[in-house]
Amino acid sequence: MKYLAAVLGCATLAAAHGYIDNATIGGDEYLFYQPYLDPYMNPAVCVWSDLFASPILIFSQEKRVSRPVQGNGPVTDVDLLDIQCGGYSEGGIVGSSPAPLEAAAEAGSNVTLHWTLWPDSHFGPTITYMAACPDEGKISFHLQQSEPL
Amino acid sequence: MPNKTAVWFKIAEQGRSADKKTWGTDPLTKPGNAGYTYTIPECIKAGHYLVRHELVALHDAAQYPGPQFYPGCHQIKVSGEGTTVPKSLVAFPGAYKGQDVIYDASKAEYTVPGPAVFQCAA
Repeated sequence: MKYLAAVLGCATLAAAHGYIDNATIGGDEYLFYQPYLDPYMNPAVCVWSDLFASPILIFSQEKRVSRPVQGNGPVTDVDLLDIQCGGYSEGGIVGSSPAPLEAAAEAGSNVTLHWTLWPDSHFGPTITYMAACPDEGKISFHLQQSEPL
Repeated sequence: MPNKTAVWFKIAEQGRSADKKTWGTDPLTKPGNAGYTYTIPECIKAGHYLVRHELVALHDAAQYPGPQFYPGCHQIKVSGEGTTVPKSLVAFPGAYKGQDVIYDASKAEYTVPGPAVFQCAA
């Protein structure tokens, strides 16, 4: 049965659903977390610095305003932490994690999210929630503001 | 992460149209589409917010489990003169229960899961 479940799981993934590729927030463009690219980026590269006259490490991993999602597949168990911001508990990645950046926007302004092309067959609602960061400076994502692309 | 604390208020939802012909996800199925747009409520207090946006796929949702959720979160810093702090909050996980999220195509109505959409006072 385990084998069968694994095969079915792969079939589900192969059906390819989607994720948010990029967004316009506060009039600026942001590339969102790229589930098939970001985890594989080399986090650091070693380059020669004239300024320091020595080799230095440059962190090349892209910094996003969106939290990691684990691919284009669904969450089907509403009781898992994955239902919050994505995740893949069955694969050992429980829920998501904070993003390094945030995007600035005025109250009353529009935010546009660009999904990868969504399959016709996967009809349903779109739903959006917000949560205030409860304790600024303590918990958080009180992070440096992002430079737009 | 907010874990299971009730911190979320809903700001937008698009379910099935009254004539039953279209769904919230429909515009996103067109190549080169303009995307999905939400408006940050004008009255909310300035500060740091986490936005949770999801699509729900109901093609195999007659029973639970069945509905497919595609949630994702992004972080925004909201500016403005608003003073409202929404009071009616839900948790994820917690806001959805199995039986609330199924889709019965034979029923006249489809109700988008979760609480009512928060509205700024007029």
